[in-house]
Amino acid sequence: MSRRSIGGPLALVLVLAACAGDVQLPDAVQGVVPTDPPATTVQQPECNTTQLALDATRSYEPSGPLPAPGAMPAGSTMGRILERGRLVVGVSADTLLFGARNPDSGAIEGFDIDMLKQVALAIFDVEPDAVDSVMEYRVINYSERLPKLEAGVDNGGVDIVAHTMTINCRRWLRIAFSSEYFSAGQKVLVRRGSGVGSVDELAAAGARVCVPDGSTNLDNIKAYEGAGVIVTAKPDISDCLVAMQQGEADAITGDDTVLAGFAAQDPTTEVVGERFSDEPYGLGMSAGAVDFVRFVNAVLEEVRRDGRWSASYQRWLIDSGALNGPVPAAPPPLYGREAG
Amino acid sequence: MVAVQGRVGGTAVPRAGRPFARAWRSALSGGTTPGRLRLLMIPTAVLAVAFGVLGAYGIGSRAAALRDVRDASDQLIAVHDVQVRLVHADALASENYLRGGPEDAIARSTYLQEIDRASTQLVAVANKVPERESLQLADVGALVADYSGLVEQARANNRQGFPVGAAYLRVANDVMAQQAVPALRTIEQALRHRVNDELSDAHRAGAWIHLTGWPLLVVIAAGGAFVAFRFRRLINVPLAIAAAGGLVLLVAVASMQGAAVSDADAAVAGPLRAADLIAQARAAAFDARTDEALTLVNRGNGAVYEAKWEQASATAAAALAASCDELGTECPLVASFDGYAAGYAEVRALDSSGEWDSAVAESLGVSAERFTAFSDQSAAAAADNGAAASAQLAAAGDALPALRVVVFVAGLVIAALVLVGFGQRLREYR
Repeated sequence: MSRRSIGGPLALVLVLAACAGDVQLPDAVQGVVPTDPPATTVQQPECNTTQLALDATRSYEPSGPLPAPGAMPAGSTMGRILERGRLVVGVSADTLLFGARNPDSGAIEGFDIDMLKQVALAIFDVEPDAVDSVMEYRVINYSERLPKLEAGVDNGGVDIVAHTMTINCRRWLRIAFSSEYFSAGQKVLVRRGSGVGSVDELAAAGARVCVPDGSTNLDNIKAYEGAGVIVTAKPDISDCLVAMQQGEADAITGDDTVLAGFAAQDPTTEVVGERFSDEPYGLGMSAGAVDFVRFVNAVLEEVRRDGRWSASYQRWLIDSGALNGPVPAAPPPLYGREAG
Repeated sequence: MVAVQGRVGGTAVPRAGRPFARAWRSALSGGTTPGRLRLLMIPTAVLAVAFGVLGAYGIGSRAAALRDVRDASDQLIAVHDVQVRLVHADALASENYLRGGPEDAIARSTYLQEIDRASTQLVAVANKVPERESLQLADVGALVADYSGLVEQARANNRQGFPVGAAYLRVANDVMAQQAVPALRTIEQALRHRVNDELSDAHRAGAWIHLTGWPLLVVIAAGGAFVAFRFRRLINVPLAIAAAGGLVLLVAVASMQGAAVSDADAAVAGPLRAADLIAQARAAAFDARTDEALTLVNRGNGAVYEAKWEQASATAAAALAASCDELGTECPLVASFDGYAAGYAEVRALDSSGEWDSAVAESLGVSAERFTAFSDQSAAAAADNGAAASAQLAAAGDALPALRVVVFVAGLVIAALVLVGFGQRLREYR
């Protein structure tokens, strides 16, 4: 009897002893990053009817002839910039033709950059070749354009922004714009020889159209979804060019300026169609720097008048192969906005 | 146990359980001595053979489980190797993109080498792992091919100064970081579970020798006591040899099979754990280095990569801290990685204050040097620990196959001794 009755419990004890304290290889480690509390989103002001009634492209009229470079009025915004020794500019570095890095020289260049250089040359008395010495480039992204102007240079911001930025009423509530310096609009990029010449033809073909997420471009193209267009939104518009080159999209829609940059990178594509929205570009400045806006508008008038605007257009939009000629007339300035 | 019938003085045919025990007792107390002798002898001999067979089976089981632990451990280390090579390649591709047109030739050739070796290693491991993991590894192979194509597109566009190259680099990095690496991590986790399961099996297999051996000794001792009592001869030599020899054998075998599994335990808790942690740290570190490059490539849009750097850096630091605190090994790596992290902070400071070119120079200069220092040190540590784990696990089960044979033979010998011992007394009745 003793043999049988202790055998069972003994075996159990041995088996349990074998299982307890088993060595185990732990799971993968996961690092923990302390997360900041989510920033409270500030509700952006909207334009009221009176404000909407005013044409957004209206800017402040120049107060008189341009002062000579190096001789800015004392106490003015330009005077402070002159004293500082450099113009701090907010730009894009990956918008080909408007603001992009030249891989050979390392310099950021493009149509937007040309406009900023003209402003700098009007403030500082330097040779055109040496203008970079009085400019400080800050590469900013789409969402930083307004905050960097609102902050001001002393708080890590910039004096002026040239970033294919559309003038509209809502933005005027936060910053100030120069007069329109480039007239852009929403168009479509397709394969050369596809025979597609407009958005309606794309819809008829049931094409897959790629568009940047969260943009007015997306809202505009969605209107055509019912007509047969298949819309894909990507976080960045350049992801759309990748998709098109990889055969995942048939067309891209966005500002014709950005699309021109794509056509310059991919000669098998072309920008087609009528605009289905107007995008007037303006140089952005701080809302309180009205004297600076008047100054910049005067600079732009000269740039339009003496052929520098056309030369820049020719160089960046036509010589690059992005668009076909001829160079259009520069958009005329519109004034009459009241300061205050 | 044999159910004895007929001979036992008039009682009914015994069934299992209490009726059996009652029958046994009545057979022992009543009945003839030769009958009782046979009643003890046959079950004891059978128990001895069972000890030999089941004991050998248990040891064989343990040996097989330890072999599986070693295989799973080697596969885990191999899959880690694949992952580290792939993220290393990603870091090299991103750094070279940052350099612009004139890329670094050595970085380029190392990139190609790492992709090559990762691909070869993938195939080799796929042949060894179970089918489900094998299919997942095949998928990773396809992803690596996609990744390479996208990187070449990025390079071609970068050469011409086309910003879309940065988009290609971003898409390539997504393929690597969001698809290939998570798939590899899933496989690694499955392999960890396999190591753990097989190690548990190895532990449990050790019960057999005890479950059969100790009862056997007790039964032999009881049989010897009966014989001594009945026949007034204190020692029945064969039974005594069987008991004593059995005891010595049982203790020796138990301790040897115990040593085998505790060697395996030590290898898993020590060098394998260290190799696992360091591989995780290296993979996370290369990830961080890639994110550092991408924050600079995606000028103005680098915020998402800054957040990724933080996550990768936290994981690397946690893995290295675990290695140092838990295991007390490779503590210099903690300081080494911190050195790299400080360098990265410099790069971010320069970029945020608008000095992109200086930030790039710093990233490709000082930061790169510090990273290389960490990467070289950690590579050595990973290799050492991986080799030690493999060697120790291979050695752990060394003695077991021989032990198996010994136990099986011992079972037969003890059975023979039991038959001889009882037979000596039974002969007196012929």
